[in-house]
This record gives sequence, C-alpha cells and structure tokens, in this order.
Amino acid sequence: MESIIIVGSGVAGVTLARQLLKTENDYQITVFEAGPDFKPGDYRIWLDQVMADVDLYREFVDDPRTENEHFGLRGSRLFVKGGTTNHWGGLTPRFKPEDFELKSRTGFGADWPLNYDDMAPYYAEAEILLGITGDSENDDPPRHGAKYPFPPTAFTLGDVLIIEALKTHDISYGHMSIARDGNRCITTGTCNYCPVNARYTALYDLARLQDEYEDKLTLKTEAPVTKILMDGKKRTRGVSFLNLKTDTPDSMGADVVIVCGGTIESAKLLLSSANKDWADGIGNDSGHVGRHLIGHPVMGASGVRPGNPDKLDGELGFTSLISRHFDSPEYQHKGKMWFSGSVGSNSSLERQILSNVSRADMDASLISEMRISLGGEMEQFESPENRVGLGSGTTRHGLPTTEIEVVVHEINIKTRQEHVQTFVEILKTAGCREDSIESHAGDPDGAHASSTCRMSSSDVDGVVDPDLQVHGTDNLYVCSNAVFPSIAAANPTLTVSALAVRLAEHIGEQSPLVPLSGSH
Amino acid sequence: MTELKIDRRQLILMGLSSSVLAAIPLGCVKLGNDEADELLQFVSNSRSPVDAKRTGSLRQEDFEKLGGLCQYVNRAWELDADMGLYFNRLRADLDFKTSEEPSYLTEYKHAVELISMMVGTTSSVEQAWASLLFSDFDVENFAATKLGRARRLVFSELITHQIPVSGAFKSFGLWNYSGYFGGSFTAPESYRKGAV
Repeated sequence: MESIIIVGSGVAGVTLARQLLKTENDYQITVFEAGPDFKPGDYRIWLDQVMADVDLYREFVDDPRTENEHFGLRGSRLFVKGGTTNHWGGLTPRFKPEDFELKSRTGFGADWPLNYDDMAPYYAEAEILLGITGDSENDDPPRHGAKYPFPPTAFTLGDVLIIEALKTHDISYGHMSIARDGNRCITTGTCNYCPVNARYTALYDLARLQDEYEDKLTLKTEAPVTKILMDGKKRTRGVSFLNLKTDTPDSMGADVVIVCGGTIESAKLLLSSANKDWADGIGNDSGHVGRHLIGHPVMGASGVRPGNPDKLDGELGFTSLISRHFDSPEYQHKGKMWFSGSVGSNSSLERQILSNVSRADMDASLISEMRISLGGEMEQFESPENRVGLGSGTTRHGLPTTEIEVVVHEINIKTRQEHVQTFVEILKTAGCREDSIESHAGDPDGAHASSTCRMSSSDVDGVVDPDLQVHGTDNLYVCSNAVFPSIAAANPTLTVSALAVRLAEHIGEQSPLVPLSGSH
Repeated sequence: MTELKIDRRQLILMGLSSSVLAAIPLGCVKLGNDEADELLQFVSNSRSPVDAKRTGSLRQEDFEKLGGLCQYVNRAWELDADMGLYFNRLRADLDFKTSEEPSYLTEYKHAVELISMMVGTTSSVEQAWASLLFSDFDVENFAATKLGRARRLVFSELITHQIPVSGAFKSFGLWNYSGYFGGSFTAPESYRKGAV
C-alpha cells in the first residue's frame, strides 16, 4: 500500500484522487481540506437559495484579514469541501497552441515546458471527466477528433440578437464549452447551487468517490495543512495540520504529498514549510515561489436597447455564447481576450409584485426595453514583482495571512481599454442607446490567480518540473493554477484538471513508490 | 382605532383586475387596537427564522391559509397558473422548510395568525391580502414585528417560489425563469419544447 496526501479538495485534488484510485495500484489517499464539509444537491439548500436568496457561501469566503487593495481574494475562492467549484461558472475553454509559447512569441512571461499537443489528450479526458457540453466540430483550438461528452447548449434568443451584431463587425463566435451534464441539467438557472448536480463540482465528485472508495479514501475537513515535513532536502515524509474541530495540532506521514491548495495557499504552504535545508521555503532556492502572480482582468459594458417585443430575458443560468475572436496569435503581444454576452430585463417579476407594480405596468415594462451586456477576460502578463507572501498573524483557519503585491502591466491596461471600446461599438450596433452604455475594466483578482509555483524545465526558472514535481525533491508535487507559466485568455479549470489527469498518470507510472522509512 | 393606509384607490393603482376590485368595498380598513397590536407586536430582530430548531409538519388548514396568498396573487396579477398542480409542489416544499432546521414552523404559524385575523377583520379576502402585503405603518423597527417578519420570511418567499415553480412567468411571455425545472435540452420537457 502506498500512502498519498492531497492538500486541498478542489477540482485538482479530487481529479487526482479519482484518477489514482481507479488505477490498479493500492493507494491509500487522504485529502485535507481547511474548510468544512458541505452537502451537494441538497433540496433544502436549493430551496433556500430560490426562496430566500440565501448567500450559500458566505461562511466559506476568505478571512477579511486576507483582503488586499489590488488583488481581491474575498469571494473569488472558497474554503469548503469541493473548493471554488462550488460557485464557479463552469466555463471550460482549452488554452490555444500559442498560449504555451508566450515568451517565444511575445517576449513576455514564460513558455510552458509542455506544448499544446502534449496537453491535447489530457484535455480530452478532462472534458469527459467534467461532463462538458461543447461544440466538437469547432477546431479552434484543434481537437484532433476528440468529442465532448455532450452536444453544445443551443444559443438563446438573446444570443441570436448579439450574434447579429457580431456578424456586422465580422467578429467570430461559437458555443461556450461548459461543465454541465447535458442529460442531467434541468435548465433551472440556479447553477450557483445545482439541485441535481448537473454542473460539475468537486464537492459532488468527491462525495461519490467517498462512497465508491470508502476504504481507500479519507477526507479530513476543517484540517488546514500548516507545514510540509521533510526528511532531508529531497524527501517529504508527510504534513503537519491543525484539527480545527478539536483545536489541536497533528501530523500525518505519507509516501507522496501533492499540494492542490490553489495559487495562493500552495505558494504560502511551500514558503511556510521553510526548514534548515530550504531556508526560504521548499522549492524556493531560486526565489520563484510566490512570484509571477497573475489573474484575469475582467472588463465589460452594458447598454439599454429600446423595445423588447419578444420579451427576451435571461433564459439560462449560464453562458452559452463565446467569442474567442480576440483570443488569437495576432493579439497575443498585447493581451488576448474572450468575451460573452447576455440579454435581460431590469427587475424580477416577484420584486415587481412585492413592490405593488400593476400587471399592466409589468407587461409594459417587459416590452419597453432590454439590457444587453458584454463581458470578457483578458490575458495578463506576469512580472516577478507580482508576488504572494506570508503576512503576520493567522486567519480563522490557523493559516498565515496573505500579503500580495500586484502591478498590472501598462500594455494590459491600454489593451483592455481597446477591448472595452470594442464592446461599446458592438452594443451600439445591437441597438443600445449611446447615452445608456456603461463600461468597466477592472484589475485582476483572485478568481483565476495563477503562476506562483510555475512550471519550468530548470529549477533556475521555476518551482516544479513538467511532471509537477517540486524541483530538488523526490516525492513532493504541486497541482494547481499555481504551476501555470502563463494564464492565456481562458478560464483555468479545464487546464488544471488536464494537468491533474496527467500527473496521476505520471505517479501511476512511478509505482511502487519508495516506501516511507519505518512506515511499512 | 388604527386605520390601514390602503384603500380602493390604491388597489386601482395596483392594477388589480376588475373582478378582484369588485369584491373590495370602498374605504380604508379600520383595525381595533388589539388587532393593530397583534400586527405590530415585536418578535425578533434576527434575520433567521425564530424557533428554528422547532421542526414539525404544517397543519393542512394552516397550509391552505398560506396558499391563499398564492391564489390571491394568481388572481390579482392574472398569472393563469394551474394552482392545483402547484399546491402539490408547494405543500412538499413547505414541509421541507418546517421539517428541517432552520425550521420556518413558528414563522408560518405567526403568519397564519395574521391572515386569520385580517380575513376576519376586513370585508374581503382581497382586501385582507392587500392590507397584509402593502399597508404602511409608521412604526420603528417594523421589520422586527410580526407583520414585518411575515412579509419578509413568509409572504415574500412564497411569491418568489410561486413565480418560477408554478410556471406563472409564462403568462408574461417569458421562456424560462430561475427556479423553474424545465428539463434537459435533449428531453421532451425542455423549457423550449424544441421550438427554437
């Protein structure tokens, strides 16, 4: 039997656990989660969300002490079983081939030590594991014949209206690929907590694994890992953690430790595990741990179009249209971008009834106008000055607080204004009144934070090798957005899932693992 | 005496249907001091249901009184939903809300007490509901009173449930609504019914 510790119960940790457990190897896996347990697909929880508009995740957001001015973490990630996939949008675009060559093609950031073709088979497997709906005929990026498990979601009537405007501007568009089981979904629009577990969450995935592998998988919730324990410089022997239920420190041994704590906590754990052999933190002899922090600047615009004879409103709780027109090699040197759009009305029916609005006025309001919104995310170029560090004091989880320094590259600031202006032109073409159009272009936040333990061929340039093993160690890995050398113009979850599938395969090939001394 | 500030003129402004309006007499609702005290009795400042650990099943007669709100809204806003079908689902869902913590059993009981009182005081069910939902009270901390809490934790939640779950949104010409179980795109009961 080989013992493996996975730190973090988000999509990376759960994908790894599943892939390892379904091999023929005799693994004993323990998943540590700093946050509490939570139930997937619970009807009462769903009912409270619908009837009382309960903020289900308010207890699981960042400690206020981790908040910072330039890179907001509160609300962008969750400390709970299943991690941030509990409240994610489910958007799962692949990176494109040129995204793995950012440095070579633009001079910014770093190249990946992998290329698109290396990743393609793992993308295909991850798309099946996450239950993705998508357009298998769209070959940008190349699919090499791989099929999504579910056909794409049909364009909504609002999408069709936006598409007409895109055509006028010769802007390409397609179906959003989204982690939503096309057979199970009941289009209830309450995707923030799906009552039937159609939208992928690591929460539900992990619950199923616990049932299926009761004897081989252990989940420890409210158990933040505080330190990686080492035997000499190369080998980890386990972790220290806090049992928040009993308020006591504890430790556990393992043959392998895989850190899947997300970009912020993974880097912090390596830093806080400093010892006599790793004076500045494990894997940090070249100073890259915590460096290069990037996220996705979010930008958008919306406007009011007079008249809505077909009473178009938000049809679904997720996005079904995407344009990757500006996510192309031509835009890579200044900041690629994807965007989507939606059409909706300004006030809910129940709110109008409760505000004593008459039926006649409600009917008139519905056909009088519509709001069209466009929003997208842009690639950010990294800088070594952008960093995550350990703050003073501890959070409610007993973990060190977070210090973040982020400066957005001036090219990115200029480009995002160009992208916003494109949105404004599209909205005008779609019929929005010019004086109604409002736009915004924000700095990145923690939602897609990446690159603090970046992957590199050499320990001089990064923290983990192409197999995600921490440089200079034998049995310590990081699997998280943290290992991305660049972030592309694509949501990161599919890519980190593909990396988790790839890592599980690599670990499987290494078995039998070198046993922990004295543990067998 | 306390005079509720809602009258037929306000109901006309609300756009209530002519049949509903015909059932409501002219003039304001006049409440005795006991009734006013009951409506404005302090209950709790908590945003959560009171007695949240007290679980149990809602009596059928109490369920029917709460369901009276949905019938009133269905008539007054001409929603055209199949209320028989809807009530089966509402009954099951309210049982979820009372049988598990945080239980709404006591909040529902308080709301039923107010409904019974107002129906007995006013001259029509329509007027009773209009008063319960929309009358103004110039009192401090109204949200913590029996009526204030009933509006937020019971009446508002019921209407928010009714619009999607009963399919009432369809009467406005909308295709789908948050909370409606429309079915998969690949299944015949899809909310679009294959039309688009």
